[in-house]
Amino acid sequence: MAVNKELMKGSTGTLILTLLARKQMYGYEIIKELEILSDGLFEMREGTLYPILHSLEESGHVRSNWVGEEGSRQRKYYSITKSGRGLLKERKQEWLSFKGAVDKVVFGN
Amino acid sequence: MNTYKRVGEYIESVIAKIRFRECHEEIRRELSCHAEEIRESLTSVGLNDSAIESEIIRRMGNPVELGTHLDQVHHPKIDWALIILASAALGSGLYAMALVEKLNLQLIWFALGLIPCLALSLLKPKLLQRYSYSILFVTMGIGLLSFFSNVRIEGQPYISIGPLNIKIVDLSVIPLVVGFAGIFAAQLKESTSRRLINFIVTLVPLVSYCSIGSAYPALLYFASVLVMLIVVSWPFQWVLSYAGIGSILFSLLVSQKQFVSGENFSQLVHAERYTDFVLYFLKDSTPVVSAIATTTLIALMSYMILRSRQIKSLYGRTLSAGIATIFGVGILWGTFSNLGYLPMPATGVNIPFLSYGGSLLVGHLALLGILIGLQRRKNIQLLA
Repeated sequence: MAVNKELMKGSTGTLILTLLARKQMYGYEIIKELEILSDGLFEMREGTLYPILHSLEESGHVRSNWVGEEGSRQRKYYSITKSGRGLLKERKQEWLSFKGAVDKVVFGN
Repeated sequence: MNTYKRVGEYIESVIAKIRFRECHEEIRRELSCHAEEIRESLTSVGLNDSAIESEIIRRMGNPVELGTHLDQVHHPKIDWALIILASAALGSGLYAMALVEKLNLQLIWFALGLIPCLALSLLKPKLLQRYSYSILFVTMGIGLLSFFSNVRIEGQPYISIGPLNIKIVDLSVIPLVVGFAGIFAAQLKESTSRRLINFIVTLVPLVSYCSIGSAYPALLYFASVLVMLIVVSWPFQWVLSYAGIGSILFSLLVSQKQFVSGENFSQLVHAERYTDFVLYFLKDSTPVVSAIATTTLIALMSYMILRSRQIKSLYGRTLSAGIATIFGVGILWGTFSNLGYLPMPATGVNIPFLSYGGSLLVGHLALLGILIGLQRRKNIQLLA
C-alpha cells in the first residue's frame, strides 16, 4: 500500500537521522536501508534525500566525509553529530506525542 | 559512466539551478557516484544501457526540483555575527582614536583596509592556497629588504610610502601564516626529508624576529604556526621540537630584557596611549567603553576559535585557526599587559582593531575578509 507523500514529508529528516545514529552511511545506502527496514513502504527518491541531507549538514546536525581515492570508487559518507543526536531525541518525543494524539482521535485508544 | 550521456546531462541540469558555483564540483561528484551505485545494482538484473539510464533518471527525480532545492540549501551565508563583533571592536577603536585626535588618520587606514577585506571575502580560498609558496617567498623577500631600510622607529624597520609608514615586521606575520597554512594543509603525506626542509623554513622567520628583538610578532608567528601544525596533525615529535625551539628563542629574548621596565612604565603609558596602552587609557578616561571593548574583543576571539573548527576543508580549518591565533594572542597579550598582568614588549603590542595600527589595521581587516570568505564556504570539502 502506497503512503501519502504529505505524511512522509515531515518525517523524512527524522528517518534519516535515525539511520545515521546507528552508523555512518552514504546516500544510496540510506535509501536502500530505509526500503528494507520499512518492508518496501518507504521508497525515497534521490531528489528528496539529498536536499534534506545537505540541509542537515548545513545546520550542523550531520557531517560528511569522502572515502576512497580519486580515480577509484568514492563515496560520501554521512554521520550524525552531537547536535544531530539532540535533534533526533526531540523529534522522537514529538513523534510519540503526535502519534498518541492521532491514535486517540482516530482509534479512540 | 562516460557512456551514460543522458545521466551526465541530467546532472548538469541539476547543477545549472545551483547559483553558488563553488559547490558544483562536490555535488556533481556525489550525484555521479549515486548514479553509478544505481547502475551497478541494475546491471546485475540484466537491463540494457538505455533502460538503465532511463531508470537512473527516473529514480533521481525532476532535475529542476532537485536543483532548486539544493540551491536553497547551498546559498552562501554571510557570518553576520563575525562582522558585528568586529565592527563593535572597530567602533571602540575609532572612539579611542577620536579621544587622542588620531581619528582622521585611523579612518584613512580603515578605508584602505576595507579594500582587501572585501576583495578577500569574495576570493576563492583555493586561489590563496595555490599561491602559498609565492606568498611566502615574496613576504620573506620583502622582510629581508626591510632590514636595509633606513626608516627605523624604536629599532624596528619600517617601509615608507609617501606619508605612510608601514611596520613591515609586524605586518609580515600575516602573509607568512597564510602561506604556511597552504603548505601545511597540502603536504600531509610528505617524506621525512621534505618535512625537515619545511621545518627549517618555518624556523627562519622566527629566528629573524627574535634576532631583531621583535617579541610581539615573534610570539604571534610562533603561536599561529604551532596551532596550525596541530590542526594538520604533524607528527608529535616534530610539533614538540618546534615548540621547544620556539621556547628557547623566547627565553633568549626575555633574557635580553626586551620588555618595558617599571621606571619608564608611566611615561610610556601616556606616550603610547593610542597604541600599546590604548586599553589602559580607555579604562581611565571612559571605563564603560573600555569594558565594552574588552568584552567585544574576548567574544570576537572566542567566536573565531569556535567557528574555525566548523570549517570542513583542512586548508580552511588550518588557515582559520592560524588567523584566530593571531587575533587571540594580540587580544590576550594586549589586554593583560594593559592591565599589568603581563610584561609589555619594548616594541609594543597592537590590540587588533583597537590600537592605532595603521598598516596593521589594514592587515587585520584583510584577515577578517579571509575569515568571512572561509565561513561562506565552510561546508565545501573540496576547497583545494
